[in-house]
Parts: sequence; structure tokens; C-alpha cells
Amino acid sequence: MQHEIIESVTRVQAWMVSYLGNLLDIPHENVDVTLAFDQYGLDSAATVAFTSDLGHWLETKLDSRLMVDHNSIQAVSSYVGEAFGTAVPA
Amino acid sequence: MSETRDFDPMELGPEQTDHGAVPVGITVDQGRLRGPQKVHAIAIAILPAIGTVAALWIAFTQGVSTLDLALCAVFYSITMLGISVGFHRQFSHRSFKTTTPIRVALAIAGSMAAQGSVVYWISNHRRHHQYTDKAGDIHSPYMDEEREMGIIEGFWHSHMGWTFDHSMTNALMYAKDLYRDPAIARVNQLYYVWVFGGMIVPAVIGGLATLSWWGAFTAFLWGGMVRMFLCYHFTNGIDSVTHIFGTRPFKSGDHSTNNAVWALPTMGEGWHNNHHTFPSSAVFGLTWWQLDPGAWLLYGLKSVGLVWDIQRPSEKMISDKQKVES
Repeated sequence: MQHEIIESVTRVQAWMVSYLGNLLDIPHENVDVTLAFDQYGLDSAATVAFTSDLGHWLETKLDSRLMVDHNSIQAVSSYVGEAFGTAVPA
Repeated sequence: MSETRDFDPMELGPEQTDHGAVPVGITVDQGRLRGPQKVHAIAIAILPAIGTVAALWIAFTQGVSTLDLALCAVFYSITMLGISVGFHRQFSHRSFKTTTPIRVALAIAGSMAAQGSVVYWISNHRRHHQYTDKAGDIHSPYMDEEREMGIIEGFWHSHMGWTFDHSMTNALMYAKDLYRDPAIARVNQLYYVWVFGGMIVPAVIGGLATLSWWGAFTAFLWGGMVRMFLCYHFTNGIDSVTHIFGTRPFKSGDHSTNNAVWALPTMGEGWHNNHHTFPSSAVFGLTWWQLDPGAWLLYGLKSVGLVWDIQRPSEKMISDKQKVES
């Protein structure tokens, strides 16, 4: 079970790294998962849209304040990976 | 130095297939942001209006100083040039190139209007161009989402009504380029600093010039409140007035008009039918008598080398469009 959650967290993190890298046009290896979203220049309009797209990928509706309450890729992916477990798409 | 034009700012969302439905994905549910958005919309609609009534009452009972009128005029011009030349011609349409310090200055000046942050404003404006006066246009006098409106309701909706309860434009669909621009993304994040700064700076000038709290207060009223009231209604009139009243020399495929009355106080924005016909043009006044202060600023900056690649339609492009009309 623990192993599955770690895998889910990794998949969410990879999806978010790829999303943010494409959005800001920066190489994915340069995306720092511990950096706060506002350090990347994002505002609430951006994190709301980012959250909405993450929700589409997970086929669910996420709280609009997800990325305020969990303010980095690492924080969001830990939370979402644990909450959704094996429901996270491969 | 400047952004390269690697996309067409007007073709970001999905195509409009018919007049009936709002295209999918152009908005996001802002959830709990809806509350703060409504508070902002009500505040900018009401507070400067109250401040303007107070300023006029004081002016009629006790007079008004030349300094206060000058602060109003100067801060009005700075803010409206920020909206027209910055938010509109530079950031929405990329219609000229300039240096980063000037882009930052324009973004700050436009933010002082309190019409939303640069990303919010540009997202809405690009969406307006893509779906002008059809379903999907956020502030058309003719369509509210998928519902047609009569003239009075339409005027209200396009002028102010839309601001109070609209679904949020998908900023990541419409304004990715601004997030990729670190200096502008930072100005965007500091939006409220510029809004309050635009009210505090005139008050400080008035207070220091008169060495009195009363002088600071009346300067705040004229340089802050009256200025924002005028900016709000003249800018919103571009969405309402110049989509209803005026002439349509070009067939732009929408209801946009040229309106000489609206042109000067909006820094040239009143030539709105010209703009919707040639959206990538940095110049809105296409004849010598179509006054366009925004374009004068651009040519002034160009003469000292701070602005370049000013887009403008050729005479042939203009006459070709007029032929389509006749």
C-alpha cells in the first residue's frame, strides 16, 4: 500500500513538472518541485487554472484553493497522491 | 530586450463554431476566488464614485486648487496611457516593441487604474477579440454568455454589469506569454501595491506641497478617486459606447464603432472600429484628424530609440478593407 502511494505521488509530481515546464517554457529538469508557486511568477488566476487542469487529468473536481493550501509541486503531489492513491492515472 | 511575436495573441482559445454556445475551456471555475473578485468589482465601481461626489462638493463649497486639478490630469494621463499603450497595445496585442523598463512602467501605470491585474485584463481582452459580440465575449453589449440582450441591459452589462459575477477567463490559455516574462509576472503579482500606490502618491504630493493633512486629503480625492472614476468610465465606455454608438467605416465583422467624442479622453481608443479591423496595429487613428495620443507617445519614444517596430496598416491594406465595405 505504502509503495502504491509513493508511486502515485511520483506520477502526480511528474505530471505537474511537465505542466509547469511547458507553461513557463523551461526545461523540465530545471523545475524545482520545492519552490513555492509564487516564486515561479504565478498568481491566483494561474493556480486556479492549473488546479482545474490537474482536476481534469484526475477526472475529479479539486478545491480552487488547493495550490494556496499546498504551495509547491512537492506539497500538492504528496497531498493529491495520498488522497487519490491508485486512482491517479498512470 | 523585447518579446518575440511567436504566436497570434488573438487566436488562443478554440474556434467559435456558431453564435450559440460559449466555447469549452475558455473559462475556469474560480471557486472561492469569486468572493474577492466581487468585492474588487464593487469597490472600483462605488468607492471612486463616492470620492468624486465628495471632491465636487468640496470644490463647490470651498473651491479647488490648481494643484489638485493638475494632479488629477497628470495621474489620469499616466493611468490611461498605461491602459491604452501598455495593457492594450503592448501586452494584449504586441503591436510594438520596447525595452523591459518601459514595459514595466507601462504595466505599473495600467495597474493604477484598478481594472484588475495585467494578466486578468489581457486574458479578458484577448478573449473579447476572439469572440467579439458573440457567445464567449466577456463584455459585449449584445451577448451575455449564450443570451442575447436588449439595448439598455446590453449597455449596462458591457459597461459594468459583467464585472460583478463573470466566470474567470482561463489565464493559462490566454496569457501564458506574460507568465513567461519574469518582470511582468512580478508586476502582476504586486497588483495591489500599484493600486494603492496610485492613491498614496498624489496624497503625499498634495500633503507636502501644502504642508497640511487637508491638502493631502483633497489631493487623494482628485489624484486618486476622481482620476480612477474617470479612468473606469472612459475605459468601460470602450466596451459599451464604442460597440453601440458611432460610425463603422470598416466591416470588422462585429459592432465596434469609431467615436470621435470618446477618442481623446481614452488616448485614441475611441477609434475602435479601426482597432477591431486592424487589431495588430499600434496606431488607432488612421487619418491625420483621428486624434490618437497613445500613438503620439509611441512615436515620441521611437524618436529617442526606446520604441521600435510600431505596427501600422499600409494605405493599401486600409483601402482594401474599405473596398470590402463598398
